[in-house]
Amino acid sequence: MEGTEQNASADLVAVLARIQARLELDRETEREVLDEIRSHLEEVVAEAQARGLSETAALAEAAARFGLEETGSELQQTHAGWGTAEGVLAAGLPVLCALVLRAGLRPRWHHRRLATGARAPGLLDCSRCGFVDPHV
Amino acid sequence: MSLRDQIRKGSTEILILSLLAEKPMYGYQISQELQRRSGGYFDMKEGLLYPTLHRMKQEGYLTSEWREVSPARRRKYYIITDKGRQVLREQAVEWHTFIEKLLPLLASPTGLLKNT
Repeated sequence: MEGTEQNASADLVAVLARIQARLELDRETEREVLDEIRSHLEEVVAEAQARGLSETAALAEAAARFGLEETGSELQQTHAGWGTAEGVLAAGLPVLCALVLRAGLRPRWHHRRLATGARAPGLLDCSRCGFVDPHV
Repeated sequence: MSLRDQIRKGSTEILILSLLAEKPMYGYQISQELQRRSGGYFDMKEGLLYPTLHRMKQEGYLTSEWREVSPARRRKYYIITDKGRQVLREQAVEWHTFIEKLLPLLASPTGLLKNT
C-alpha cells in the first residue's frame, strides 16, 4: 500500500515536471503556481478514484483534462511580464545607480580639478556653477 | 481557433467574475461550475483557467488565499475585489448591449433565428 502511494506521488511529480519544464519564473512564483496545480490534480484524482479508477488511470485522466503543456506555456506568458519587469529592473538598477552617483559626484570632481589648478590654467572659476576657487 | 473557442476565450473573464461575485471559489470548483451551468458549452482544458485567474489577480480584480480543508489538503480560493465587481458591472452591460444588437442583425436578413 505504501509502495502504491509512493508510486502515485512519483507519478504526480512527473506530471508536475511537465508543466515546470515550460516555466522560467522566480522560485517563489513557480512554487506557488505548482502548489495550486498539484492541489487541482489531487482533487481530480480523488474524484476519479471515487468513480473506481486506479490511481495511475485517475492521474492520467486528470493530466489529460488539465492540458499540461498548453497551460504551462500560458502560465509562463502570464507571469513572464512580471518576471521581465523584474529582470529589466535588476539589470537596469546598477546602471541607474552609476548614473546617479556620477551626476552627484561630478561637481566635486570638477571643483577639485579647479582647486588644484592642475588641469587648465584658465579655469579659476566655474562658469557652469559659479564656483570660485578661494586658493587662487 | 474555432469560433466557439474565440467566444469562450473572450467571455472567460466575465464568467469567472460572475461566479466569484456569488462566493469565493477555488480553481477546480470554478471549472466545474462553468461546465455545469453552461451544460458543457464552456468545457475547456481545466488548466487554462489558471492563466486567466492569475492575470485577473495581477489586474486587481481578484485576490486569493490558501485555506486548509483537511490536514492533508488545502485549496487556493479566489475572492472578487471591489475593482472586480466594478469590471463585472461594466462588462455585463457591454455583453447585454452586444447581444441585443447582434441578434436582430442575424435574424433580419437570413431568417436563421426565426425558428429558434
